Amino acid sequence: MDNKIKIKLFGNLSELVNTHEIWIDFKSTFFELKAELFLQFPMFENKEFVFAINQKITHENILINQNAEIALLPPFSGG
Amino acid sequence: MQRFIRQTILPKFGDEAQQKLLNSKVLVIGAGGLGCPCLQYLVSCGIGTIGIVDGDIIDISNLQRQILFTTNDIGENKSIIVKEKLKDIHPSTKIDSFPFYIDEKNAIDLISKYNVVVDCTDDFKTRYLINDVCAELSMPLIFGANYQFEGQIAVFKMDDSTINLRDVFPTPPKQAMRCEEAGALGAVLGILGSLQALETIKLITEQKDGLNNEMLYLNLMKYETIKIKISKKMSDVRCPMSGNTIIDLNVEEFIGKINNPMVQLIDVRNEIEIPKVDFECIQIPLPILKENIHLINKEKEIVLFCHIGVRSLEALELLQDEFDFKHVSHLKGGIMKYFSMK
Repeated sequence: MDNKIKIKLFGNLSELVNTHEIWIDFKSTFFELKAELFLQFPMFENKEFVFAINQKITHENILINQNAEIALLPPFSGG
Repeated sequence: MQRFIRQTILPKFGDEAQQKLLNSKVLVIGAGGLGCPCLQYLVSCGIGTIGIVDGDIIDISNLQRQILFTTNDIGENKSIIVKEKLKDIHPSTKIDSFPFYIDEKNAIDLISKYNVVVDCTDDFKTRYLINDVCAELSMPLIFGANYQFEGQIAVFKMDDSTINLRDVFPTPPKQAMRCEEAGALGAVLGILGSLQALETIKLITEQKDGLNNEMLYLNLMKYETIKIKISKKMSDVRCPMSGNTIIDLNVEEFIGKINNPMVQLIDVRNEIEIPKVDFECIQIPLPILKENIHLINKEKEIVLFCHIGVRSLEALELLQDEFDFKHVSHLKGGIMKYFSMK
């Protein structure tokens, strides 16, 4: 998809939107992308999860490539 | 070793790996959906000593997923029944059952007797206690958790980096549902518990391709997986989710706060706990912290401590989240660390 980036969802996040992946407008920095995510999917805003970008948990504002693998990972506790 | 011939002929295994299994001591905490399958494989493969900790009683609603239990076992303690069911598989495996819950008082004692800990519990409070004690003792931890058709498996080697669960999720999450609300399927837990056993075996036999300070997410409905490399988080920004900053003090930093008139040191242990401290502080036990919040001077910087740093972290979150304290930190590793390093 043109100028979109895929985000994989795990746990209860996928239930909120009824799909395991979403596409949002591509932004070239992590903080912009995060803002775009919450703009398009405000239901994620107060949820507990971390961002994995290219298999690394990311907190800092890094540059993002459009092919980056992005996943939202919530904590699980069941056993 | 005819018994183990099918595994010792595996590449990268052999008698040497088998000997490591026979010499190892593994503590499995939680004998439920993850613990049952995990324990079966750990006993079968020849682990030398296995401890099972679980204070829970078998309920009829457990039987669809906790596959060591039968209808006749309802009402019995899980760790005792598991030992009963597994003791004849490999009679030389020593099985210790601990028919009570792990808590702050017994955790160090229980964990320090083993070489590897497998977390098969089902609530965050216990998971963070296990994590913190393992990090403190440099005890390798095999973490496993389930949500519906999905799972998380992580191996925290607790080597020099002491990468642990708090480097993924810094504080115990508040929102995650337990299986009573979320639901759980035996076949899913079976896979996850088996993966925990597999990673335990890989760790003990020193396979270089095991998970290594990594967390695997598996969606077993869609067969989607993602493997995350975990790195050490900066210690001064630990709570991105709530927006608060959690500050861990090491012993050296903590000593710098002693006798500082701008700092109020607070011991959140109960009055009877030892060791007693050799510096000025006030004592407000965590269970009565809320009612005694007026004793804390909000103008000062607050430094909390407890036995090993678990309760002080809880107190810190309480002060930040419910009472809006801004300048608050705690002693990582607790007073035990202080006395060991001083």
